[in-house]
This record gives sequence, structure tokens and C-alpha cells, in this order.
Amino acid sequence: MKHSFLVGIKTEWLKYKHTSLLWLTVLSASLIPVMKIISCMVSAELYGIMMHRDPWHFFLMINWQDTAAVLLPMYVILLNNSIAQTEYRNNAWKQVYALPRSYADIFFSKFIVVQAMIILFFACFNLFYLVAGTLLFLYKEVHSFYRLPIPWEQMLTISIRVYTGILAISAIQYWLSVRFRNLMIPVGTGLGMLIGCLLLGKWVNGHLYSPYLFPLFMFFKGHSKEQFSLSLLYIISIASFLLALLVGFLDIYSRKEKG
Amino acid sequence: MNSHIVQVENLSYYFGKQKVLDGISLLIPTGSIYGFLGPNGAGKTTTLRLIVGLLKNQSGNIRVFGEDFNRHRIRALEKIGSLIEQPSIYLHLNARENLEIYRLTYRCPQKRMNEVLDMVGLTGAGRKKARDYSLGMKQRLAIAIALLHNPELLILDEPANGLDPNGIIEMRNLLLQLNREFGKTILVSSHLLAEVEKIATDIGIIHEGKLLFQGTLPQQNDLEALFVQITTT
Repeated sequence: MKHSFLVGIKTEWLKYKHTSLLWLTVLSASLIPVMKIISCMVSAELYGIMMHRDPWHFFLMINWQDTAAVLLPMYVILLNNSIAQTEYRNNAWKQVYALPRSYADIFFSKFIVVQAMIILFFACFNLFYLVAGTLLFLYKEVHSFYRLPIPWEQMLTISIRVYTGILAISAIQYWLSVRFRNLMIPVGTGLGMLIGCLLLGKWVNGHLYSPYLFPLFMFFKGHSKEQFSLSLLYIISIASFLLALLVGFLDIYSRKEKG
Repeated sequence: MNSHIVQVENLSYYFGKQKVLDGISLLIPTGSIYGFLGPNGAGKTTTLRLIVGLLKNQSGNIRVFGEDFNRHRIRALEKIGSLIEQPSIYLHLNARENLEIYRLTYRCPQKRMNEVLDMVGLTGAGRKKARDYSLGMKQRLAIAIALLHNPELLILDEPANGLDPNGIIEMRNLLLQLNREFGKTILVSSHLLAEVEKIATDIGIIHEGKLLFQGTLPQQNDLEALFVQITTT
């Protein structure tokens, strides 16, 4: 059974060979670091603030801020959609369900691929952050930039936190993307929830009301004045993720028509 | 060995309030080529989708290889190759890459990919992207996928769709070869009476969700006459 699940993951992975998923991941991960390097190049004020504080740390924070709030959730929405649409576009769901694989194997092996791509996004993002910082210091001729401490620990900590925060969104979007052939439903729902919650967030600050804000809360924890604790954030993020994944699986499992 | 590889009893199915299958019972003899005939919308594809588990059974029983399909779904699907409606092909991959996905699931040796590509006449096109295939080539690749794990039962829904006259002849010869030389049981749905007449050992005729005839083709009767007689009375 274990072997079969691993084979399932491998077969799912093979399906995305020659697709734009890898490009989507790399380009999405590079977008904010590129924007921030440009911002720091053109804005003397921003660059001044950065150099008067811990430069690498400041640069990490301004990169993560927009990524956790907007770019990462949008990437997850598009990623899930692309993965499910690969089956829909090629009329392949019916062949997948006519294979000697359990429904759980089909559902979860594809979800593992989604998670692998998200982890790749994090790896690329951290790499691009380092490259962007280095290029910025070289451009600004900061000769001793290599002596400035790189916040490795914070890079890892924020990555783990934001990843935990994105789990619930990835489970909800995965469910919607697999559930509906019409790509406008998962994409529209995801973007609508994300934008709506970001706009509402200003008025209901400090309330854990939507999974679409968990990555942002997870990033900001310790950097702003929220009332809830980090452990509560972890618990709610993981509980929401497990609930969304379970509901999604049960819904797909109980559908009368598969493929 | 069970004399009937597929036994369907009193199968009914509704889409919403519309009854699309009305208590049909099929008996598909092991080793046969069973031609499942009916006009468009008669319920052929719905029946086949129920047999391979793509639709949840609402009422009636489906036994495959002598076992209840719902209880032994995975075991049954290990011995079934299917092509339901349009070919399920990943268009961004080539034929070998498409086959590799299924080969891993079925755990068959790599050389089997060459064998099935050869069987369906796609040996030379194995490295070409499936998006560049004609509809007929896609259909043949889908049949190669269905054959990959050397299944005992092949379920093919309108396999001649999109094929040119030569392709239809090749398909006919392939099905006959699979049946006679390799002992495969083939359940093939079609509305091409002349084609089915040339290969089928057994016939089932469905019309408006009801099975109107089942059995071997009467010697004195040609299929077209039988079909017209049954579906118009």
C-alpha cells in the first residue's frame, strides 16, 4: 500500500513534465525580490532606512510582507488550478478513476505534488532574496556587504510559519480545483476571498476569521501588536488545513460521478 | 472459469429525475466480442461508465470476474482496460511519456510499451507530442494505454470514432487479433452496425435505456434488419 502511494506520487509528478508549472513557480518566487531590488534602487529613502537598520533583515521583511499577504496565496490559487486543469483539459479524470488505485491514493498523491511545488516556491523565494540582496549591495557599492549578517534563522522561521499559514488555503483551493471543471469557480472564489479579506482586514484587525489571511498573520506575528498568540495561530492554521482536506476528500469520494 | 466475465442485473440509473437506464441486464460471455449497440443517447456510455465505476451504482448489481464490482473495485480494475468516450491523453507529453504514467501504476515491464505501440501501429510516433497527433492516432494511443497491463477484459466505447477507413479496418483487425490470439474479452459499444457485425460474437441492443435484445446474432438475420426491427417495434 505504501509502495503504491509512492508510485502514485511519482506518476502524478510525471504528468507535469513539460508544463508551465515549474516556470509559474520560479517566476512567482522571483517577482517580489525583483520588485524590491528595484524599489531600493530608485527610492533613496527606502534604501536609507534599510542601511540604518539591519540591512539583510530589513530586506527580508519587506520581501516577505507582500509575498505572504498577496503573492503566495495567488500562486497557490493558480498552482492548484493548473494541476487540476491538466486532468480536465486532457479528459483524463475518467482514465485516472478507472485505474486500480484507491480514491484516497488519487486525491492525496496529487495533493503531495501541490505541496512539493509550494515548498519549491519557498526554496526559490529564499534563494532569490539572497541573490537580490547581493545584487543590490553590489549596485550600491557596499564594499563590506559580505560582512553583514544574513538572518538564516529568521529565513527558516518565517518560511515555516508562512508555510503553515498557507496550508489551509492550499487544501481549500485544491478541493475546489479538483471539484469544479469550470476554472472560474476555484480561481474566482480564491481571488475573491483573498482580496475581500485583505480589504476587510483593516476593519477587523486581529480576528482570525479567514484562512486566506493566515499566511499574513503568521508572517506578522512578532512584528506587530496582535492579541492572539503564535501557538493559537499554529493550532488554527493546522486545524483549518486538516478540516479542509478532510471535507474535500469526503466530498470527492462521495461524488456520484467521477471523471 | 466464470462463463460470464461481466454480469449486470437489473441496472437502473437516473440523472436527476431523468431515467437513463431502465433495469438492464447484461451477460457478457468470457472470450466473446460483445457488441453493445444503440442509437446516440440510448444509455451505452452510461452503462459502460457504471461497469468501470465512473458512476456510482444507484440500483442493480454489477459483477465482474464473478465478484461484486463495488466491493472489489481495485482488483477488478487491475484486469480491465478501458477507453470511455474521448481518448484520455496528456497532450503535452509524447506517447511514451503517456504510457510511462500508466506503466508505473500497472507495474508492467518497459518492453510492454514497445509491444503496445507496435500493436496499435504507433511505433514510429512514440516520441512525438500527443498534441500533434491526429484524432485517429490519439484513439490508437488510448487503446495502447488500455492494453498496457494485458487486461483480460477490454471495454471500448466507440473506438472507431475519428478513425479514417484504413484506421477502422486496422482497429477491426486489432480487436479480432486480441480476441482470437490473446483470448481477450472485448465489450465494444458502437453505433456502426456494419463494423460490429463483422467482429461481434454476441450482441446487446439498447434503446431509450432498455435492453431490447441480447444474444448471438441470428444466422438468418443481418444486424441492420434486426436493429431496425427491434428499435422500431
